[in-house]
Amino acid sequence: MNAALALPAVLVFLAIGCHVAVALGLVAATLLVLFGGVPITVIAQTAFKSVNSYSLMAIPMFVLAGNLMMRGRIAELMIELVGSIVRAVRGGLAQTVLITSVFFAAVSGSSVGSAAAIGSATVDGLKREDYPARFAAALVAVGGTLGLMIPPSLGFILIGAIVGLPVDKLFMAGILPGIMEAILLMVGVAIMARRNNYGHKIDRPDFRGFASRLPMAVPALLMPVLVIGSIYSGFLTPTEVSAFAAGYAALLCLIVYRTVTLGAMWQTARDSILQTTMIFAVVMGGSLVGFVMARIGVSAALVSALHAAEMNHYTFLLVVNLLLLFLGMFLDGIALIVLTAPLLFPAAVALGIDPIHFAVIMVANVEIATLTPPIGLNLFVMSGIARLPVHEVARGVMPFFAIRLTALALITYVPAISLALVK
Amino acid sequence: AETLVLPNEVAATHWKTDYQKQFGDLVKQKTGGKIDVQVFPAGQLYNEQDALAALGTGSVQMVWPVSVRIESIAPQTGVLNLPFAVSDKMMTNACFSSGLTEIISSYVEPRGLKVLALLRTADLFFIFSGKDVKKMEDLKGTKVRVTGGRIFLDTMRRLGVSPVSMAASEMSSALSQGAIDGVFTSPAGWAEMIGISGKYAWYVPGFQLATYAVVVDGAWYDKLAPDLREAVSSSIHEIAQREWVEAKAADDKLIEKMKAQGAQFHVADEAELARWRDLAKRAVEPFDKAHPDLVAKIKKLEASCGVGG
Amino acid sequence: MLTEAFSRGFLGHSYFWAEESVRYLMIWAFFLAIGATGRNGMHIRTEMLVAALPPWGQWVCNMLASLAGLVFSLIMLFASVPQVERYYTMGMMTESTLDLPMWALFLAMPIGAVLLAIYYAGGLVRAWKGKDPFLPLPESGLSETGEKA
Ligand code: NA
Ligand code: NA
Repeated sequence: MNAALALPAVLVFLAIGCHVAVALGLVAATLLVLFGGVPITVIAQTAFKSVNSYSLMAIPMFVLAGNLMMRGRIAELMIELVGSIVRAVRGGLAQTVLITSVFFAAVSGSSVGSAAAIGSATVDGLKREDYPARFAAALVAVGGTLGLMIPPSLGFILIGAIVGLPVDKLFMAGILPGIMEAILLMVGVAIMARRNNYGHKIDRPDFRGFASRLPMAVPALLMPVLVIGSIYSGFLTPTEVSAFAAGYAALLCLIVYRTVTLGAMWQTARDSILQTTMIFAVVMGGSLVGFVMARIGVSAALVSALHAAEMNHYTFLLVVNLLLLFLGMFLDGIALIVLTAPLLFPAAVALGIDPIHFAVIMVANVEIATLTPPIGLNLFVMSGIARLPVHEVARGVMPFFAIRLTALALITYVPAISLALVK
Repeated sequence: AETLVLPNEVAATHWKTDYQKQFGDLVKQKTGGKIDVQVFPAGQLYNEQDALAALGTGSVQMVWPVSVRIESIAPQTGVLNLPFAVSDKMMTNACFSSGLTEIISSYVEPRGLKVLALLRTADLFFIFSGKDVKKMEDLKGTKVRVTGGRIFLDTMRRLGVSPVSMAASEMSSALSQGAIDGVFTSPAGWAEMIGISGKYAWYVPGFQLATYAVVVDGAWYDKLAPDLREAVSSSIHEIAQREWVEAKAADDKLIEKMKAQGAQFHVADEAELARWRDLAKRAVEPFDKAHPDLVAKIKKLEASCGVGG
Repeated sequence: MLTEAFSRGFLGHSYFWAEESVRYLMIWAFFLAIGATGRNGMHIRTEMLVAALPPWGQWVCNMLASLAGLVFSLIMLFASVPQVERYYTMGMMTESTLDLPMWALFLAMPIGAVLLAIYYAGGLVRAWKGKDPFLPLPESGLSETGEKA
């Protein structure tokens, strides 16, 4: 009863414009003090513990790496390289954007980071080639979400830290689903481009241009290989990899491509700290909600209710997906994870679902949540970059939802896609 | 009624939670319900480190952490975690175990805490996946996942072992991937978390016999009416005496189970044991030098209870 | 962290302290930056519903949202101060090798809470005057790339 008030209360606080961290933390702390019979120092210790985590330490460095790659104009480089060949097909520039999104996904941890990097490099180009502005903005917004599924991923780091799963395994689990999503998107774009006659195409692939650009791009192309390779081999922990990725990105931008000055580097580091602090604050607020749910017994009640309802795990996953899609309309990715992970993971595990598979399902939902109105970060970012109203971007995203829901269904009901690479 | 909040961080089904519930029942029975023991398993309220820190704020009255944890409050209590510090034989001797508990307690009392008893956690040993270790030299150059204090780490380095710190959840996969060669763990950790992929066990009895310290909020305990205090104290002693024997038997059973699955279990013989004790003696020298009074007290206790090694 | 990675990978050593010191630095950085993140307008929120309200409705929501932030900061402060005190009297040290007193580490939290409270108190004043309390403040010098992650 008490805890049933928590979620609506959080939504009310969000609606009046509270900071997400405050909405979560304040509601949880109030519940604890009023109903839980919990001493107040527990709040301090729980909040403190939530940010005192080795896994979370990967976040600042991955954020920095993503920001540097964004500032360093690496996206333009990739677009030109990939475009020299891919633009020979109908809708080629759109496909180029998707392929570049995959590359960015493999060096950046967040969906917004990917979208912002690629958006500023491509939206005007897409418009020049007569793609509808709405389609262009939506394409980048959707492609950007791959950053959450393809490692490194802040989403998986958060889940790992909150639920206590090995982040390296989560990263591995995201690779195939991410590639599958990308392929489905490319098929979808091919169909849309053909049907609506979108964009221009060049007569034949420009192999010479490709060959001349390739050497310049190799250091950047090496980055995802090194990042994913070192996690996969178990040579470095994800936290160590994050430091390596930031160092490598700094090397690329400062020395190899000379696209970032020392001053800009300092500015980027500062922004990265503030972004990390924002994320940690939400994690802190969410940890209090997770704690209050466990303390008041909501988590346990949920598990026993599922048992009592004799729900099988297929129905459970359907219900979870519907719930996450609904909540995802109103919550951004980080809040969605911190709010639901502590509650849903014990239930999923109790039904015999592999927690790593479940984490991938959750991330697939988070990807969609960044695209659904009224609150979808990628919609906001692309609205800014493409100078379109948010609802126009959202309309552009509509045709892509069918693709994302197909991918979500495949990820949900074919666990092998997530688990094949996990040793 | 007084409330005694007793949080732990093991599963609700773990034997430690069982003993805590038994302790609660015993206290309830002896006090006629005047003290209500509330067990919060699985970190529901606090993990044990935080619970320890909350003793004295009024939110927690008792915690049973592994003894290493109280080293962060009083370094002298690290004596419990020295190699060969205690053995099953010493701790089942009532004279020695109560004397040792008093000595340990005296170091945390100035910090507002009390240690009422020491329970048996497990006698730890080495597990390897691909290396059949039968003597000290075989450990040289191996990478082993450990948890432990400074002196333990120092002992590992003297053995030529590279100690690796890693979450328990990761050690099984790290072992099978070859990121580490072995793990230093308990029979339960072997049977439940690693399984037969850790085929070779190397056991030096008493080398690292881990204990739980039953720690209570000192001010709260002192303020209890004498009869209630006596009820808490006698309950925990009853539990401790029984637990020490039962936990040993349970561990032996797990080892037998692993052997039945084809595990190689080697135990150090007398000669090898003597070499390990010798090595340990050198490793603990800095500790002995830093705390001569403590060492003297324990020596004296060993002699007077007749358990000296 | 890099040093640890290299030394573990290449030299077969593990520096327990490296992981710990990075973690503790991050904790302090987080709490020290929590108010500044607000002043840069970077704590995440949604203004959509509020923006659709008439001015008096916006005024009410802004006041309430700032007040909620202030109350949350004060809860953080009052919850953490007794814990710092107890760490101090207990003399607990951090786990393993660094040997820092826990109270010094935990002190980051009440300090962060004070900084956050100051920020929200300022927000309350701005909201009272009818301004948006959560926009980046002019002196914060937010860069162009300061999007929310
Ligand atoms: Na990514
Ligand atoms: Na959304």
